[in-house]
Amino acid sequence: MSGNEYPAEYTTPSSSSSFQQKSQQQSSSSLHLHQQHHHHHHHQQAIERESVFPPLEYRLAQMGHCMEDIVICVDADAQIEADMKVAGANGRALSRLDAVKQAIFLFVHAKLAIQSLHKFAFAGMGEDFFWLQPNFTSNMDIINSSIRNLSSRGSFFRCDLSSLFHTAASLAKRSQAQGRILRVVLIYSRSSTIPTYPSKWPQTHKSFTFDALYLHDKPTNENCPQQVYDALVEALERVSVYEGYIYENGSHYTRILFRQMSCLLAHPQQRCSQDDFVPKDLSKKNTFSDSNSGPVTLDDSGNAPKVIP
Amino acid sequence: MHGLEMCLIMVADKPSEVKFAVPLFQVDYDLGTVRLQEVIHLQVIYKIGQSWNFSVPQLKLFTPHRVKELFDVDDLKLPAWHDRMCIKEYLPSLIDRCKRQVQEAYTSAALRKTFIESLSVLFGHPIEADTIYGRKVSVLTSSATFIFLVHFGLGVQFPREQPTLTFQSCLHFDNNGKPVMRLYKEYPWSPRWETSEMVQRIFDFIAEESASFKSYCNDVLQNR
Repeated sequence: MSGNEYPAEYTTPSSSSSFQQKSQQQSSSSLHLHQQHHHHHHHQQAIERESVFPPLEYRLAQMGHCMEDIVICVDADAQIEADMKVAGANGRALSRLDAVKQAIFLFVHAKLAIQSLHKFAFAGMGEDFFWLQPNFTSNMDIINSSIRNLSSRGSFFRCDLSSLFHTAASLAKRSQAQGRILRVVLIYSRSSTIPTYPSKWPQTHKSFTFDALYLHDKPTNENCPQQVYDALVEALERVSVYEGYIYENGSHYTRILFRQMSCLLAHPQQRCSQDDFVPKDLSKKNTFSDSNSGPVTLDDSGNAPKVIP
Repeated sequence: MHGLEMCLIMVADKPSEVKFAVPLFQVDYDLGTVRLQEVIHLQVIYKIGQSWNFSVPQLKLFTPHRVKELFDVDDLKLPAWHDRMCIKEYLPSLIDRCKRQVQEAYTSAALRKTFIESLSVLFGHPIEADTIYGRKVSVLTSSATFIFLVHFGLGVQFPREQPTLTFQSCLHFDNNGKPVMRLYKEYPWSPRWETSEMVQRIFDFIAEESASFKSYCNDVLQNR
């Protein structure tokens, strides 16, 4: 796949009928964008996956359940202030950052409802990584204030993930000593700055999970979101010890952002391959006898979610 | 009596006490990388009077903290202490009860884990599960465009006690950014069903309830 090919789903539909096409294109192109991730993935279960199809059965005895220390690292570049498609509750335009903040609230509240012993720290990404709240905590007052204080800090034309990864590797040792595991969730929103990362990453440093959520503009002659996405996929495969998940969002619909953030809730030690991870649609009747009919993708048209102003 | 501990407490102006800690039964449970091996004890406290007499001691069961995920000590009723009994006479029926209760706890844990694994057949791959004790599991699901989580809470009395279901919206948030949640404790359930039927019925209930839950979330937002 050359850097100049842009999947058709990036074009904006002009009518509701073409929106259906967009959904189909979007799901097929997500696969298209994802293909590279799939082929090169050196996940520890790769050998078993090749010999068993459909996917492995779900067995608790084969999975760990350590508590997580999660670093949420949000892009501090001005592009995070771009508007989302959906207005806020009072009609005011909603920026990506507003939607990201709400998505992070969703993520933290949900994670703590699942298991109250998970903890969170907060960081930003300019040219390099920087701390905002470095102490892992489940204290909601500290977390609320950290999320509310997220902001952009200017335009950055370089992004080096090395310092983020090196910090994560050393934090991972500390987590491991406490019987916990470390995860980094990067929320990136630049369409023209391809992130860089170490060319070599030793096995000993492969000690944390790396997930990414990429919010981007439509591809034009001036930007390169596909290359950015590809770089994030490569970085993920290089450094992540458990299967990292990556989602891209060029649609600017907040509902899709929240769905993707919800998928990132998946515990790293218990994950299936990202391609196999699709929430079931309850409106399609499911029974034990037809459980082999496979996952159903969501219809992406519909009402806007309610968000805080 | 192997492992018996004794301690004499003498305090001025109060009758002396002698405390015994009697080991009853060792819980032996697989935690994955290690085994949980903790002993349930009976604490016996005698007050010592001026003359020797057969007083009725205070009795209390102690379960170590980690065992609480498997076994609720309050569920174990102590047998009656008969007049002129000694500890050695009291123990056999207590140990029997203890063994039975712990065996039921192991069975319940195994059933919880089987239930959790079966959920994946209809709900797809869960987000996160308690792999050790099977007490909790969360799934991400949707009804058309409405995406939400269901958190299952499974008690130590499962399946006699049905799981609690907490629905959590991924699209509706209160003024503090907290997702709207709702707890369900009552829904069709029978401990005599096969696991597959339990899962099918819960799936059907959640599918039917999703529309009401969505309305509930919208109402919460209207009223905030």
